[in-house]
Amino acid sequence: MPKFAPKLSELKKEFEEKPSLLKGDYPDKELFDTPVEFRDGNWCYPAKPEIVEDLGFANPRKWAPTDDDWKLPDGWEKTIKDGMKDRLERFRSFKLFLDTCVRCGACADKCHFFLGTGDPKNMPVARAELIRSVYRNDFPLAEKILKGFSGARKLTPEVIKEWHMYFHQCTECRRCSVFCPFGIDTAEITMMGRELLHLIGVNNNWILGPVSNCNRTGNHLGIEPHTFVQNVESLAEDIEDLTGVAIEPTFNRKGAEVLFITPSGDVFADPGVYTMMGYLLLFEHIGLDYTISTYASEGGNFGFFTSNEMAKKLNAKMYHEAKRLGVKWILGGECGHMWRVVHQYMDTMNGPADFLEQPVSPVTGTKFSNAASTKMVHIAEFTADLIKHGKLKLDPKRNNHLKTTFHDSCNIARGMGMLEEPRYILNNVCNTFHEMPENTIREQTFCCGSGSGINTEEYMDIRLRGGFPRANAVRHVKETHDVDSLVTICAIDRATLPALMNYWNPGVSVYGLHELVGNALVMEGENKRTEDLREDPMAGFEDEEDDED
Amino acid sequence: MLNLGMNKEAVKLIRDNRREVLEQWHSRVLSFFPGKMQSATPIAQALDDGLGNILDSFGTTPETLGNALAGVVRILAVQNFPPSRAMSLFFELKSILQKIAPGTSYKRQIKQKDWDEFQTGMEHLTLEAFDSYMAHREKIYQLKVEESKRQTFMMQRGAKA
Repeated sequence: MPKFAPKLSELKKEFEEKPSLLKGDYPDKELFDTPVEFRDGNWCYPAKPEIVEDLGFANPRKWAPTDDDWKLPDGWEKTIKDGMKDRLERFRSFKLFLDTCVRCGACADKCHFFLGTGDPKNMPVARAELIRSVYRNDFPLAEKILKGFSGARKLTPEVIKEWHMYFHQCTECRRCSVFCPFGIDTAEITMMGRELLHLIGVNNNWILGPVSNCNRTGNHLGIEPHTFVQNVESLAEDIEDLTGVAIEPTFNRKGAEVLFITPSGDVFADPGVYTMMGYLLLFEHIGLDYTISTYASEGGNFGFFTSNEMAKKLNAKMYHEAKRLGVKWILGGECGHMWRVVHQYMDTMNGPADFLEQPVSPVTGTKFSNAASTKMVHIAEFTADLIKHGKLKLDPKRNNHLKTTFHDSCNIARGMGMLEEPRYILNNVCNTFHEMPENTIREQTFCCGSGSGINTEEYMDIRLRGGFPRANAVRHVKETHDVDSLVTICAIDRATLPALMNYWNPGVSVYGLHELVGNALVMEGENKRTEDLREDPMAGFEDEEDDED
Repeated sequence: MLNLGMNKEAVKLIRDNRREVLEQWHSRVLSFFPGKMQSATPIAQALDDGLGNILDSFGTTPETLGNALAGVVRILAVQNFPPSRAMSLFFELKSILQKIAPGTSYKRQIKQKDWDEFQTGMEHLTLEAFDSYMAHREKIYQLKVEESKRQTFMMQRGAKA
């Protein structure tokens, strides 16, 4: 019996005292009549007017969610309604999801934001109802006749404010959809909600800034090609200092067998750069014929959080570059939403990639039939295959200084069903892997709380609330197994989980999976290793001379 | 650290009625949240553990009590309610004990002097909780700074070189 299951007497009391439709009671105030309140920590900075203008998005202006007047454009109601009508016709899933929900509530307590905030509007069913209520009022015929029936309501500025708040308290993680008996994907409703908001200029700078940078230079931070190259070469120098192995990655090289694309966080941010060092060591270890592009220099796709069209545009550079360089196939690094786009949309958005070949591992000969259509392989599949065929010389003891657990990234676990490969790798590169509780991993994994373009610092309070269920699961393995290292395969996780851990579980550090691979790889002609890629001492590999000193 | 000495009679009252006190205190703290936090959520369970730890820490060392306090305040410091509500934590506990005491089979009635001492202890605890609350808020600002630095890690490294 669960510790907090309500007692029979409590249920009886609740039924007797609470108003209920079954008893003919109606609450005085509808949930949706409760106004939203924007205050520091619960809203993201709106996009700068020049960025909105550059991208050709609607209604560039200076505004803030705390303003009474959001300066919505003339005729914004019609814009939203027309936009909704257009999307209902174009996206069958959107219409199905709006029509089929029976409000059973199975999703309610599955959302990390609901669990972390207790706010009823964060129940996925209620969040979707924010749009559904407008849809009911304006679209299906029955609702036009029976106004107000079934929660229908008018489109007002207050509704827009509510959409803005709650569609940015959904990370499109899709945990709720795992439990929906109809398979309703609330993430797609959030995507539509955000698309509609963009039509009237209600936006978020943390999303549109990177979109603009990506649009111009190819990556989120707007790193120019020469800096991109410098950063990777600088990491290669670090590897040489640490291991004695000289690595010379190539850039934009025509005729390479493989184009490697990873989130740009791996090239400029801590701790992503250590994961990049892991990739570089791996490719050197197996002698992979690969190149890195300074144009397709970003795996992530923040366009995915604005509109279908922008996602398509930003994604297109992957195939463009693969074609230009004449590679055979694409290898993708550790990323979250990049893989949701690649796995579920790229083929129909920008494919078919008939100029590429079905990926085949040049080392093991394995044909990646799962990537026969997209021609793009996830690095975890690639590395797991190498390990399975005994092609890597690994010393897992080199990670003995870390006690690890694994965070399934939502887009990898739920979005593309990759559950075993990262665990297989982790078990081969370290000796201390402990799983978090069953209902917090694999398909049921809890989001980091910062996905889908809300990982901005001014939103930290909301992120810490939304990330609590994940942090709480880490706390469990920290207390039971002394876990001090949280391993992930997503750049957003690597960027945001350090803050989450620092607040909720001080002492737990965040690692990329291939950083641990890089630690464990025994390279040909390497110097004696005493430190990991972060230059932290490895346990049991201390320098004897230093000890004597 | 403030003097967190707690009146022995009050501690005994809490220990003897731990389950009832914790149940009521837990329920009141869950009411701080918009729409009342449901009891089967990770937050509610963490609060149940945390509040229980605070009750068990009364009469032990200031360090033990301080750690237990931080466990609960860490949760309250990031929620969507004002600090004043978060800090009403111990006012709630006081009112629960005042209601529970007369109805218990607790034979030795608590004297006024003991209540006064207990009240002072609660006030000290509230101040201590406020310090912890502020420390956690400052930690959040620190996290923002550190995150910004991590995002531009290579740029800063390049600038230093």
